[in-house]
Amino acid sequence: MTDTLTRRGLLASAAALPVALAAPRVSAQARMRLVIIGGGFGGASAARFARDTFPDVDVTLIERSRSFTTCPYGNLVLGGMRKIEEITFTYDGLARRGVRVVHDEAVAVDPAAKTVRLRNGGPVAYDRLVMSPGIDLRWGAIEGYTEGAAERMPHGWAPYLQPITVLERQLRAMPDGGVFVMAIPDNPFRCPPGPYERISMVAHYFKQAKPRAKILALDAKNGFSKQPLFQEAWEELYPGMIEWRGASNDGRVVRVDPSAMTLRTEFGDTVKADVANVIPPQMAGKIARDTGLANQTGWCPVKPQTFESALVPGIHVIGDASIAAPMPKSGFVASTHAKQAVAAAVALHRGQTPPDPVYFNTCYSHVGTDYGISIVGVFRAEGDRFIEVPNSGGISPRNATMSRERKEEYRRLEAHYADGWYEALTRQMFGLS
Amino acid sequence: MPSTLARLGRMAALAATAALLAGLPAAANDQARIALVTGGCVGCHGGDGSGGHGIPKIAQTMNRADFVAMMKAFRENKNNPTVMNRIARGYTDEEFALMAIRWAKPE
Ligand SMILES: Cc1cc2nc3c(=O)[nH]c(=O)nc-3n(C[C@H](O)[C@H](O)[C@H](O)COP(=O)(O)OP(=O)(O)OC[C@H]3O[C@@H](n4cnc5c(N)ncnc54)[C@H](O)[C@@H]3O)c2cc1C
Repeated sequence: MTDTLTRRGLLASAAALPVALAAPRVSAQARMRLVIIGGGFGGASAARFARDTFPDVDVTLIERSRSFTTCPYGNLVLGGMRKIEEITFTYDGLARRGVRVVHDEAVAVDPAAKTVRLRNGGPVAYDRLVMSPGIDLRWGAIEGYTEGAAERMPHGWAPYLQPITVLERQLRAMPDGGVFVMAIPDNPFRCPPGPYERISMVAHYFKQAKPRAKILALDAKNGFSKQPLFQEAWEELYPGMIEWRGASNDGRVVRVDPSAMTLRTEFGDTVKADVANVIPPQMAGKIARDTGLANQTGWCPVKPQTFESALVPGIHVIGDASIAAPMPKSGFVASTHAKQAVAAAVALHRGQTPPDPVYFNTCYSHVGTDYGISIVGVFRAEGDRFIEVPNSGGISPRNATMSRERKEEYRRLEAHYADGWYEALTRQMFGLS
Repeated sequence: MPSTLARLGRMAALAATAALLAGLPAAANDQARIALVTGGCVGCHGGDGSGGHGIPKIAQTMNRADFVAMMKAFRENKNNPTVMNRIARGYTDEEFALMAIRWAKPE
Protein backbone atom coordinates (compact mmCIF):
# COMPACT_ATOMS: atom_id res chain seq x y z
CA MET A 1 0.00 0.00 0.00
CA THR A 2 2.80 2.37 0.89
CA ASP A 3 4.31 1.33 -2.43
CA THR A 4 1.29 2.41 -4.46
CA LEU A 5 0.87 5.58 -2.45
CA THR A 6 4.49 6.54 -2.85
CA ARG A 7 4.49 5.83 -6.56
CA ARG A 8 1.30 7.75 -7.06
CA GLY A 9 2.89 10.61 -5.12
CA LEU A 10 5.93 10.49 -7.36
CA LEU A 11 3.85 10.47 -10.54
CA ALA A 12 1.74 13.33 -9.31
CA SER A 13 4.74 15.49 -8.51
CA ALA A 14 6.46 14.56 -11.80
CA ALA A 15 3.33 15.54 -13.69
CA ALA A 16 3.32 18.90 -11.98
CA LEU A 17 6.82 19.72 -13.20
CA PRO A 18 7.64 21.28 -16.58
CA VAL A 19 8.74 18.55 -18.99
CA ALA A 20 12.35 19.70 -19.12
CA LEU A 21 12.68 19.46 -15.35
CA ALA A 22 11.04 16.06 -15.03
CA ALA A 23 13.34 14.60 -17.70
CA PRO A 24 16.56 12.89 -16.59
CA ARG A 25 19.41 15.21 -15.76
CA VAL A 26 21.10 16.10 -19.04
CA SER A 27 22.82 19.44 -18.61
CA ALA A 28 24.57 21.48 -15.98
CA GLN A 29 21.38 23.53 -15.76
CA ALA A 30 19.35 20.58 -14.46
CA ARG A 31 17.90 21.12 -11.01
CA MET A 32 20.10 19.80 -8.25
CA ARG A 33 18.56 16.83 -6.42
CA LEU A 34 19.10 17.14 -2.69
CA VAL A 35 17.93 14.07 -0.79
CA ILE A 36 17.63 13.98 2.99
CA ILE A 37 17.30 10.80 5.09
CA GLY A 38 15.62 11.25 8.47
CA GLY A 39 12.93 13.80 9.30
CA GLY A 40 14.01 14.70 12.85
CA PHE A 41 15.75 17.79 14.18
CA GLY A 42 18.55 17.61 11.63
CA GLY A 43 16.65 16.30 8.62
CA ALA A 44 13.45 18.34 8.89
CA SER A 45 15.47 21.50 9.54
CA ALA A 46 17.59 20.72 6.48
CA ALA A 47 14.51 20.26 4.32
CA ARG A 48 12.94 23.51 5.48
CA PHE A 49 16.15 25.49 5.05
CA ALA A 50 16.86 24.05 1.61
CA ARG A 51 13.30 24.75 0.43
CA ASP A 52 13.39 28.36 1.64
CA THR A 53 16.96 29.25 0.67
CA PHE A 54 17.43 27.42 -2.64
CA PRO A 55 14.21 27.56 -4.69
CA ASP A 56 16.01 26.01 -7.67
CA VAL A 57 16.94 22.81 -5.81
CA ASP A 58 14.66 19.73 -5.64
CA VAL A 59 14.31 18.69 -2.01
CA THR A 60 13.27 15.14 -1.05
CA LEU A 61 12.86 14.07 2.57
CA ILE A 62 12.81 10.34 3.35
CA GLU A 63 11.29 9.58 6.77
CA ARG A 64 9.86 6.22 7.74
CA SER A 65 7.27 7.52 10.15
CA ARG A 66 4.23 9.68 9.37
CA SER A 67 4.55 11.64 12.58
CA PHE A 68 7.42 12.77 14.75
CA THR A 69 7.36 13.00 18.53
CA THR A 70 10.16 15.18 19.83
CA CYS A 71 12.60 14.08 22.52
CA PRO A 72 12.69 17.66 23.77
CA TYR A 73 9.74 18.19 26.11
CA GLY A 74 9.35 14.41 26.51
CA ASN A 75 10.60 14.91 30.06
CA LEU A 76 7.77 17.41 30.57
CA VAL A 77 5.33 14.65 29.67
CA LEU A 78 6.82 12.64 32.55
CA GLY A 79 6.46 15.71 34.77
CA GLY A 80 2.79 16.07 33.84
CA MET A 81 3.40 19.48 32.23
CA ARG A 82 2.74 18.42 28.61
CA LYS A 83 0.68 15.85 26.76
CA ILE A 84 2.24 13.62 24.13
CA GLU A 85 -0.04 15.10 21.42
CA GLU A 86 1.43 18.53 22.12
CA ILE A 87 4.90 17.33 21.18
CA THR A 88 3.92 15.33 18.09
CA PHE A 89 4.06 16.74 14.56
CA THR A 90 3.31 15.68 10.99
CA TYR A 91 5.12 16.48 7.76
CA ASP A 92 2.16 18.18 6.07
CA GLY A 93 3.63 21.66 6.58
CA LEU A 94 6.86 20.71 4.84
CA ALA A 95 4.98 19.02 2.00
CA ARG A 96 2.81 22.12 1.55
CA ARG A 97 5.96 24.18 1.17
CA GLY A 98 7.19 22.00 -1.69
CA VAL A 99 9.35 19.43 0.05
CA ARG A 100 8.79 16.01 -1.53
CA VAL A 101 8.13 13.93 1.59
CA VAL A 102 8.55 10.18 1.07
CA HIS A 103 7.35 8.07 3.99
CA ASP A 104 9.52 5.02 3.60
CA GLU A 105 12.61 3.52 5.17
CA ALA A 106 16.00 4.01 3.53
CA VAL A 107 17.51 0.52 3.63
CA ALA A 108 20.71 1.04 1.61
CA VAL A 109 22.71 3.77 -0.05
CA ASP A 110 24.94 3.27 -3.08
CA PRO A 111 27.43 6.17 -2.90
CA ALA A 112 28.92 5.30 -6.32
CA ALA A 113 25.59 5.22 -8.16
CA LYS A 114 24.25 7.99 -5.86
CA THR A 115 20.98 6.26 -5.11
CA VAL A 116 19.00 5.46 -1.98
CA ARG A 117 17.16 2.15 -1.89
CA LEU A 118 13.83 2.19 -0.05
CA ARG A 119 12.04 -0.64 1.74
CA ASN A 120 8.86 -0.20 -0.29
CA GLY A 121 9.27 2.39 -3.04
CA GLY A 122 11.65 2.57 -5.99
CA PRO A 123 15.20 3.93 -5.69
CA VAL A 124 15.76 7.68 -5.20
CA ALA A 125 18.66 9.31 -7.08
CA TYR A 126 20.58 12.21 -5.56
CA ASP A 127 23.29 14.69 -6.45
CA ARG A 128 24.08 15.24 -2.77
CA LEU A 129 22.72 13.30 0.22
CA VAL A 130 22.17 14.62 3.75
CA MET A 131 21.74 11.99 6.45
CA SER A 132 20.32 12.68 9.90
CA PRO A 133 19.21 9.26 11.14
CA GLY A 134 19.69 9.97 14.86
CA ILE A 135 20.87 7.26 17.22
CA ASP A 136 20.57 3.55 17.74
CA LEU A 137 20.92 1.94 21.15
CA ARG A 138 23.71 -0.54 21.88
CA TRP A 139 21.67 -3.50 23.02
CA GLY A 140 23.73 -5.75 25.27
CA ALA A 141 26.35 -3.09 26.12
CA ILE A 142 24.81 -3.27 29.58
CA GLU A 143 24.53 -7.02 30.17
CA GLY A 144 20.90 -8.12 30.03
CA TYR A 145 19.66 -4.88 28.50
CA THR A 146 18.01 -6.19 25.34
CA GLU A 147 15.08 -4.87 23.32
CA GLY A 148 12.88 -7.18 25.37
CA ALA A 149 14.28 -5.86 28.65
CA ALA A 150 13.45 -2.33 27.53
CA GLU A 151 9.75 -3.06 28.01
CA ARG A 152 10.22 -3.67 31.75
CA MET A 153 13.01 -1.08 32.05
CA PRO A 154 12.22 1.59 29.45
CA HIS A 155 14.86 3.88 27.97
CA GLY A 156 12.55 6.60 26.68
CA TRP A 157 15.51 7.98 24.73
CA ALA A 158 14.44 7.61 21.11
CA PRO A 159 10.72 8.05 20.38
CA TYR A 160 11.01 6.11 17.08
CA LEU A 161 12.09 3.08 19.14
CA GLN A 162 9.87 3.52 22.19
CA PRO A 163 7.32 6.21 23.06
CA ILE A 164 7.94 8.13 26.28
CA THR A 165 4.47 7.04 27.41
CA VAL A 166 5.82 3.58 28.32
CA LEU A 167 7.92 5.13 31.07
CA GLU A 168 5.16 7.60 31.91
CA ARG A 169 2.66 4.78 32.60
CA GLN A 170 5.12 2.98 34.87
CA LEU A 171 5.77 6.14 36.87
CA ARG A 172 2.05 6.79 37.26
CA ALA A 173 1.49 3.21 38.47
CA MET A 174 4.41 3.27 40.92
CA PRO A 175 3.36 3.25 44.60
CA ASP A 176 4.19 6.23 46.81
CA GLY A 177 7.36 5.40 48.68
CA GLY A 178 8.75 3.51 45.67
CA VAL A 179 12.22 3.96 44.20
CA PHE A 180 12.81 5.24 40.67
CA VAL A 181 16.28 4.22 39.46
CA MET A 182 18.00 5.69 36.41
CA ALA A 183 21.08 4.31 34.65
CA ILE A 184 22.87 7.11 32.78
CA PRO A 185 25.59 6.48 30.16
CA ASP A 186 29.08 7.84 29.68
CA ASN A 187 29.81 10.46 26.97
CA PRO A 188 29.11 10.81 24.12
CA PHE A 189 25.35 10.36 24.12
CA ARG A 190 22.20 12.13 22.93
CA CYS A 191 21.40 15.27 24.94
CA PRO A 192 23.99 15.66 27.74
CA PRO A 193 21.61 17.56 30.10
CA GLY A 194 18.62 15.32 29.21
CA PRO A 195 18.95 12.73 32.01
CA TYR A 196 19.17 15.46 34.64
CA GLU A 197 16.17 17.32 33.27
CA ARG A 198 14.41 13.95 33.48
CA ILE A 199 15.40 13.53 37.14
CA SER A 200 14.02 17.02 37.77
CA MET A 201 10.72 16.45 35.98
CA VAL A 202 10.12 13.10 37.68
CA ALA A 203 10.89 14.78 41.01
CA HIS A 204 8.40 17.51 40.13
CA TYR A 205 5.75 14.83 39.57
CA PHE A 206 6.67 12.89 42.73
CA LYS A 207 6.56 16.04 44.85
CA GLN A 208 2.88 16.42 44.02
CA ALA A 209 1.70 12.84 43.57
CA LYS A 210 4.15 10.60 45.48
CA PRO A 211 5.95 12.71 48.09
CA ARG A 212 7.57 9.68 49.78
CA ALA A 213 9.12 8.35 46.54
CA LYS A 214 12.89 8.47 45.96
CA ILE A 215 15.09 8.88 42.90
CA LEU A 216 18.44 7.14 42.59
CA ALA A 217 20.56 8.15 39.57
CA LEU A 218 23.42 5.77 38.75
CA ASP A 219 25.80 7.53 36.39
CA ALA A 220 28.70 6.11 34.35
CA LYS A 221 30.53 9.45 34.55
CA ASN A 222 31.80 11.73 37.30
CA GLY A 223 30.28 14.99 36.18
CA PHE A 224 27.51 16.23 33.93
CA SER A 225 26.13 19.17 31.98
CA LYS A 226 24.92 22.16 34.08
CA GLN A 227 25.73 20.07 37.17
CA PRO A 228 26.02 22.89 39.73
CA LEU A 229 22.75 24.43 38.56
CA PHE A 230 20.86 21.13 38.66
CA GLN A 231 22.22 20.15 42.06
CA GLU A 232 21.47 23.55 43.60
CA ALA A 233 17.95 23.38 42.24
CA TRP A 234 17.39 19.83 43.49
CA GLU A 235 18.31 20.87 47.02
CA GLU A 236 16.09 23.88 46.77
CA LEU A 237 13.03 22.26 45.19
CA TYR A 238 13.23 18.57 46.08
CA PRO A 239 15.30 18.27 49.27
CA GLY A 240 16.08 14.68 50.28
CA MET A 241 14.42 13.11 47.25
CA ILE A 242 17.32 12.69 44.80
CA GLU A 243 20.56 10.75 45.14
CA TRP A 244 23.06 11.02 42.28
CA ARG A 245 25.97 8.58 42.25
CA GLY A 246 28.88 9.17 39.84
CA ALA A 247 31.26 6.59 38.37
CA SER A 248 33.88 6.86 41.11
CA ASN A 249 31.11 6.34 43.66
CA ASP A 250 30.15 3.04 41.98
CA GLY A 251 27.55 4.63 39.73
CA ARG A 252 28.26 2.66 36.55
CA VAL A 253 25.56 0.05 35.83
CA VAL A 254 27.01 -3.05 34.15
CA ARG A 255 24.14 -5.55 34.32
CA VAL A 256 20.36 -5.49 34.65
CA ASP A 257 17.83 -8.19 35.50
CA PRO A 258 14.42 -7.06 34.28
CA SER A 259 12.49 -9.94 35.88
CA ALA A 260 13.94 -9.20 39.33
CA MET A 261 13.92 -5.44 38.57
CA THR A 262 17.51 -5.11 39.75
CA LEU A 263 20.52 -3.20 38.44
CA ARG A 264 24.08 -4.21 39.25
CA THR A 265 26.93 -1.73 39.43
CA GLU A 266 30.58 -2.05 38.44
CA PHE A 267 31.80 -2.81 41.97
CA GLY A 268 29.01 -5.26 42.71
CA ASP A 269 26.21 -3.33 44.38
CA THR A 270 22.74 -4.63 43.50
CA VAL A 271 19.94 -2.08 43.49
CA LYS A 272 16.24 -2.90 43.43
CA ALA A 273 13.93 -0.57 41.53
CA ASP A 274 10.19 -0.05 41.46
CA VAL A 275 10.59 1.72 38.13
CA ALA A 276 13.87 1.60 36.22
CA ASN A 277 14.88 3.91 33.36
CA VAL A 278 17.94 2.51 31.64
CA ILE A 279 19.57 4.85 29.11
CA PRO A 280 22.13 2.63 27.39
CA PRO A 281 25.24 3.59 25.38
CA GLN A 282 24.43 4.69 21.84
CA MET A 283 25.76 4.89 18.28
CA ALA A 284 24.85 6.43 14.93
CA GLY A 285 21.61 5.23 13.29
CA LYS A 286 21.81 1.98 11.31
CA ILE A 287 21.62 3.43 7.81
CA ALA A 288 24.69 5.58 8.50
CA ARG A 289 26.65 2.59 9.82
CA ASP A 290 25.49 0.36 6.95
CA THR A 291 26.65 2.99 4.44
CA GLY A 292 30.16 2.91 5.92
CA LEU A 293 29.94 6.41 7.40
CA ALA A 294 30.79 5.39 10.98
CA ASN A 295 34.27 4.66 12.32
CA GLN A 296 35.22 2.24 15.12
CA THR A 297 33.46 4.46 17.68
CA GLY A 298 30.09 3.83 16.04
CA TRP A 299 29.73 7.55 15.22
CA CYS A 300 30.42 9.35 11.90
CA PRO A 301 33.48 11.55 11.35
CA VAL A 302 32.78 14.64 9.21
CA LYS A 303 34.58 17.62 7.71
CA PRO A 304 33.93 20.58 10.02
CA GLN A 305 33.27 23.11 7.24
CA THR A 306 30.67 21.09 5.36
CA PHE A 307 29.57 18.07 7.44
CA GLU A 308 30.51 15.96 4.45
CA SER A 309 31.51 12.50 5.61
CA ALA A 310 35.25 12.10 6.14
CA LEU A 311 34.86 8.55 4.83
CA VAL A 312 32.40 8.64 1.91
CA PRO A 313 32.19 11.60 -0.50
CA GLY A 314 28.88 13.19 -1.47
CA ILE A 315 27.11 12.38 1.79
CA HIS A 316 26.72 14.91 4.63
CA VAL A 317 26.08 13.40 8.07
CA ILE A 318 24.49 15.75 10.59
CA GLY A 319 22.88 15.70 14.02
CA ASP A 320 23.48 13.12 16.71
CA ALA A 321 25.01 10.59 14.28
CA SER A 322 27.99 12.85 13.54
CA ILE A 323 31.18 13.32 15.53
CA ALA A 324 31.07 17.05 16.22
CA ALA A 325 32.48 17.46 19.74
CA PRO A 326 32.77 19.87 21.50
CA MET A 327 29.24 20.46 20.22
CA PRO A 328 26.67 18.50 22.25
CA LYS A 329 24.27 16.10 20.57
CA SER A 330 21.25 18.41 20.75
CA GLY A 331 18.29 19.25 18.57
CA PHE A 332 19.22 22.94 18.28
CA VAL A 333 22.77 22.03 17.24
CA ALA A 334 21.41 19.53 14.70
CA SER A 335 19.38 22.34 13.12
CA THR A 336 22.50 24.48 12.69
CA HIS A 337 24.48 21.51 11.29
CA ALA A 338 21.59 21.09 8.86
CA LYS A 339 21.74 24.61 7.48
CA GLN A 340 25.50 24.57 7.01
CA ALA A 341 25.41 21.11 5.42
CA VAL A 342 22.71 22.15 2.95
CA ALA A 343 24.48 25.38 1.98
CA ALA A 344 27.77 23.49 1.62
CA ALA A 345 26.17 20.69 -0.41
CA VAL A 346 24.65 23.18 -2.85
CA ALA A 347 27.92 25.15 -3.12
CA LEU A 348 29.99 22.01 -3.71
CA HIS A 349 27.53 20.73 -6.32
CA ARG A 350 27.91 24.04 -8.14
CA GLY A 351 31.69 24.11 -7.85
CA GLN A 352 31.57 27.05 -5.43
CA THR A 353 33.34 27.54 -2.11
CA PRO A 354 31.15 26.59 0.86
CA PRO A 355 30.39 29.45 3.26
CA ASP A 356 32.32 29.84 6.50
CA PRO A 357 30.33 28.06 9.23
CA VAL A 358 29.11 29.20 12.61
CA TYR A 359 27.29 26.59 14.70
CA PHE A 360 25.09 27.40 17.62
CA ASN A 361 23.43 25.79 20.59
CA THR A 362 21.17 26.85 23.40
CA CYS A 363 19.81 24.03 25.54
CA TYR A 364 17.22 24.92 28.13
CA SER A 365 16.27 22.47 30.85
CA HIS A 366 13.14 22.63 32.96
CA VAL A 367 13.86 21.89 36.61
CA GLY A 368 10.51 22.81 38.15
CA THR A 369 7.54 25.14 37.71
CA ASP A 370 8.85 28.48 36.41
CA TYR A 371 12.37 27.23 36.94
CA GLY A 372 14.58 26.92 33.86
CA ILE A 373 18.33 26.85 33.29
CA SER A 374 20.42 26.96 30.13
CA ILE A 375 23.72 26.28 28.45
CA VAL A 376 24.89 28.21 25.38
CA GLY A 377 27.66 27.46 22.89
CA VAL A 378 28.96 29.06 19.69
CA PHE A 379 31.22 26.86 17.58
CA ARG A 380 33.34 27.19 14.45
CA ALA A 381 35.48 25.06 12.18
CA GLU A 382 39.22 25.31 12.54
CA GLY A 383 41.15 23.10 10.14
CA ASP A 384 39.97 19.54 10.72
CA ARG A 385 38.36 20.25 14.10
CA PHE A 386 35.40 21.98 15.64
CA ILE A 387 36.18 24.56 18.30
CA GLU A 388 34.05 26.45 20.79
CA VAL A 389 34.57 30.21 20.48
CA PRO A 390 36.68 31.20 23.50
CA ASN A 391 35.01 33.36 26.19
CA SER A 392 31.55 32.79 24.74
CA GLY A 393 28.68 30.61 25.86
CA GLY A 394 28.44 28.81 29.19
CA ILE A 395 25.73 28.06 31.73
CA SER A 396 23.27 30.32 33.56
CA PRO A 397 24.72 31.99 36.65
CA ARG A 398 24.73 30.12 39.98
CA ASN A 399 22.24 31.11 42.68
CA ALA A 400 24.83 32.80 44.88
CA THR A 401 25.91 35.23 42.16
CA MET A 402 22.51 36.98 42.10
CA SER A 403 20.09 38.65 44.48
CA ARG A 404 17.16 36.42 45.40
CA GLU A 405 14.77 38.54 43.31
CA ARG A 406 17.03 38.48 40.25
CA LYS A 407 17.62 34.75 40.64
CA GLU A 408 13.88 34.04 40.73
CA GLU A 409 13.29 36.28 37.75
CA TYR A 410 16.17 34.65 35.84
CA ARG A 411 14.94 31.09 36.41
CA ARG A 412 11.39 32.08 35.52
CA LEU A 413 12.47 33.86 32.34
CA GLU A 414 14.54 30.89 31.25
CA ALA A 415 11.58 28.53 31.77
CA HIS A 416 9.45 30.76 29.54
CA TYR A 417 12.22 31.19 26.97
CA ALA A 418 12.50 27.41 26.84
CA ASP A 419 8.84 27.25 25.79
CA GLY A 420 9.51 29.94 23.19
CA TRP A 421 12.53 28.04 21.90
CA TYR A 422 10.54 24.82 21.59
CA GLU A 423 7.73 26.50 19.71
CA ALA A 424 10.01 28.48 17.38
CA LEU A 425 12.24 25.58 16.45
CA THR A 426 9.51 22.99 15.93
CA ARG A 427 7.36 25.39 13.91
CA GLN A 428 10.26 26.01 11.56
CA MET A 429 11.31 22.37 11.28
CA PHE A 430 7.83 21.26 10.38
CA GLY A 431 7.02 24.21 8.12
CA LEU A 432 4.24 25.56 10.36
CA SER A 433 5.36 29.18 10.23
CA MET B 1 45.61 29.54 11.69
CA PRO B 2 42.86 30.76 9.33
CA SER B 3 42.24 28.44 6.38
CA THR B 4 41.58 29.61 2.83
CA LEU B 5 37.97 28.62 3.38
CA ALA B 6 37.73 30.79 6.45
CA ARG B 7 39.33 33.69 4.58
CA LEU B 8 36.91 33.34 1.68
CA GLY B 9 34.00 33.20 4.08
CA ARG B 10 35.20 36.35 5.76
CA MET B 11 35.59 38.05 2.39
CA ALA B 12 31.99 37.23 1.55
CA ALA B 13 30.95 38.66 4.91
CA LEU B 14 33.01 41.76 4.29
CA ALA B 15 31.46 42.19 0.86
CA ALA B 16 28.01 41.92 2.41
CA THR B 17 28.98 44.37 5.12
CA ALA B 18 30.27 46.78 2.48
CA ALA B 19 27.01 46.43 0.56
CA LEU B 20 25.16 47.04 3.79
CA LEU B 21 27.12 50.17 4.54
CA ALA B 22 26.55 51.38 0.99
CA GLY B 23 22.83 50.76 1.53
CA LEU B 24 22.71 48.12 -1.22
CA PRO B 25 20.59 44.99 -1.03
CA ALA B 26 22.71 41.88 -0.35
CA ALA B 27 23.56 39.75 -3.39
CA ALA B 28 21.87 36.35 -3.76
CA ASN B 29 24.95 34.51 -2.51
CA ASP B 30 25.04 36.63 0.59
CA GLN B 31 21.44 35.67 1.31
CA ALA B 32 22.57 32.14 2.12
CA ARG B 33 25.33 33.48 4.32
CA ILE B 34 22.88 35.75 6.15
CA ALA B 35 20.51 32.82 6.62
CA LEU B 36 23.37 30.79 8.12
CA VAL B 37 24.61 33.51 10.45
CA THR B 38 21.07 34.10 11.71
CA GLY B 39 20.48 30.36 12.18
CA GLY B 40 21.01 30.84 15.90
CA CYS B 41 18.60 33.80 16.13
CA VAL B 42 15.67 32.00 14.52
CA GLY B 43 15.95 29.02 16.87
CA CYS B 44 14.32 31.13 19.60
CA HIS B 45 13.05 34.34 17.97
CA GLY B 46 11.36 32.43 15.13
CA GLY B 47 11.83 32.45 11.37
CA ASP B 48 10.07 35.81 11.15
CA GLY B 49 11.83 37.23 14.20
CA SER B 50 8.53 37.78 16.01
CA GLY B 51 9.56 36.15 19.32
CA GLY B 52 6.99 34.85 21.82
CA HIS B 53 6.78 33.50 25.40
CA GLY B 54 8.60 36.61 26.58
CA ILE B 55 11.30 36.29 23.90
CA PRO B 56 11.46 39.76 22.32
CA LYS B 57 10.46 40.52 18.77
CA ILE B 58 13.62 41.41 16.84
CA ALA B 59 12.27 41.94 13.33
CA GLN B 60 11.74 45.49 12.08
CA THR B 61 11.96 47.02 15.53
CA MET B 62 15.13 49.10 15.15
CA ASN B 63 17.50 50.48 12.59
CA ARG B 64 20.70 48.68 11.62
CA ALA B 65 23.08 50.80 13.65
CA ASP B 66 20.96 50.34 16.78
CA PHE B 67 20.76 46.59 16.19
CA VAL B 68 24.54 46.29 15.98
CA ALA B 69 24.98 48.55 19.00
CA MET B 70 22.56 46.38 20.97
CA MET B 71 24.49 43.22 20.12
CA LYS B 72 27.76 44.86 21.13
CA ALA B 73 26.21 46.00 24.40
CA PHE B 74 25.14 42.41 25.15
CA ARG B 75 28.79 41.39 24.90
CA GLU B 76 29.47 43.75 27.81
CA ASN B 77 26.60 42.23 29.87
CA LYS B 78 24.49 45.34 29.34
CA ASN B 79 20.65 45.40 28.97
CA ASN B 80 20.02 42.85 31.75
CA PRO B 81 20.58 39.76 29.59
CA THR B 82 19.91 36.07 30.38
CA VAL B 83 21.42 34.29 27.36
CA MET B 84 22.19 37.12 24.94
CA ASN B 85 25.46 38.09 26.64
CA ARG B 86 26.72 34.51 26.41
CA ILE B 87 25.61 34.35 22.79
CA ALA B 88 26.89 37.74 21.60
CA ARG B 89 30.41 36.99 22.78
CA GLY B 90 30.59 34.17 20.21
CA TYR B 91 29.95 36.34 17.13
CA THR B 92 32.02 38.91 15.22
CA ASP B 93 31.11 42.50 14.38
CA GLU B 94 30.73 41.49 10.72
CA GLU B 95 28.23 38.86 11.72
CA PHE B 96 26.26 41.42 13.73
CA ALA B 97 26.09 43.50 10.54
CA LEU B 98 24.79 40.51 8.59
CA MET B 99 22.18 39.86 11.29
CA ALA B 100 21.13 43.50 11.06
CA ILE B 101 20.45 43.09 7.33
CA ARG B 102 17.88 40.43 8.16
CA TRP B 103 16.33 41.89 11.30
CA ALA B 104 16.61 45.67 11.24
CA LYS B 105 14.22 48.03 9.44
CA PRO B 106 15.08 48.30 5.75
CA GLU B 107 17.19 51.36 4.98
C1 LIG C 1 14.88 13.31 26.92
C2 LIG C 1 15.52 14.17 25.88
C3 LIG C 1 15.40 15.54 25.95
C4 LIG C 1 15.99 16.36 25.00
N1 LIG C 1 15.85 17.70 25.11
C5 LIG C 1 16.46 18.52 24.21
C6 LIG C 1 16.30 19.94 24.31
O1 LIG C 1 15.65 20.46 25.21
N2 LIG C 1 16.92 20.71 23.38
C7 LIG C 1 17.64 20.18 22.36
O2 LIG C 1 18.16 20.93 21.53
N3 LIG C 1 17.78 18.82 22.24
C8 LIG C 1 17.22 17.99 23.12
N4 LIG C 1 17.36 16.61 23.00
C9 LIG C 1 18.23 16.06 21.94
C10 LIG C 1 17.54 15.93 20.59
O3 LIG C 1 16.37 15.17 20.71
C11 LIG C 1 18.48 15.26 19.58
O4 LIG C 1 19.75 15.84 19.66
C12 LIG C 1 17.92 15.43 18.17
O5 LIG C 1 16.72 14.70 18.05
C13 LIG C 1 18.94 14.95 17.13
O6 LIG C 1 18.43 15.13 15.83
P1 LIG C 1 18.74 14.06 14.67
O7 LIG C 1 18.20 14.66 13.43
O8 LIG C 1 20.15 13.66 14.75
O9 LIG C 1 17.90 12.78 15.09
P2 LIG C 1 16.27 12.60 15.33
O10 LIG C 1 15.72 13.92 15.69
O11 LIG C 1 16.17 11.50 16.25
O12 LIG C 1 15.75 12.22 13.91
C14 LIG C 1 16.08 11.01 13.26
C15 LIG C 1 14.96 10.66 12.30
O13 LIG C 1 15.46 9.79 11.28
C16 LIG C 1 14.50 8.80 10.98
N5 LIG C 1 15.23 7.69 10.38
C17 LIG C 1 16.30 7.04 10.91
N6 LIG C 1 16.74 6.09 10.04
C18 LIG C 1 15.94 6.16 8.96
C19 LIG C 1 15.90 5.43 7.72
N7 LIG C 1 16.78 4.45 7.48
N8 LIG C 1 14.95 5.76 6.82
C20 LIG C 1 14.06 6.75 7.08
N9 LIG C 1 14.04 7.45 8.22
C21 LIG C 1 14.98 7.16 9.16
C22 LIG C 1 13.86 8.52 12.33
O14 LIG C 1 12.58 7.94 12.17
C23 LIG C 1 13.80 9.92 12.96
O15 LIG C 1 12.59 10.57 12.65
C24 LIG C 1 16.74 15.78 23.93
C25 LIG C 1 16.85 14.39 23.85
C26 LIG C 1 16.26 13.58 24.81
C27 LIG C 1 16.39 12.09 24.70
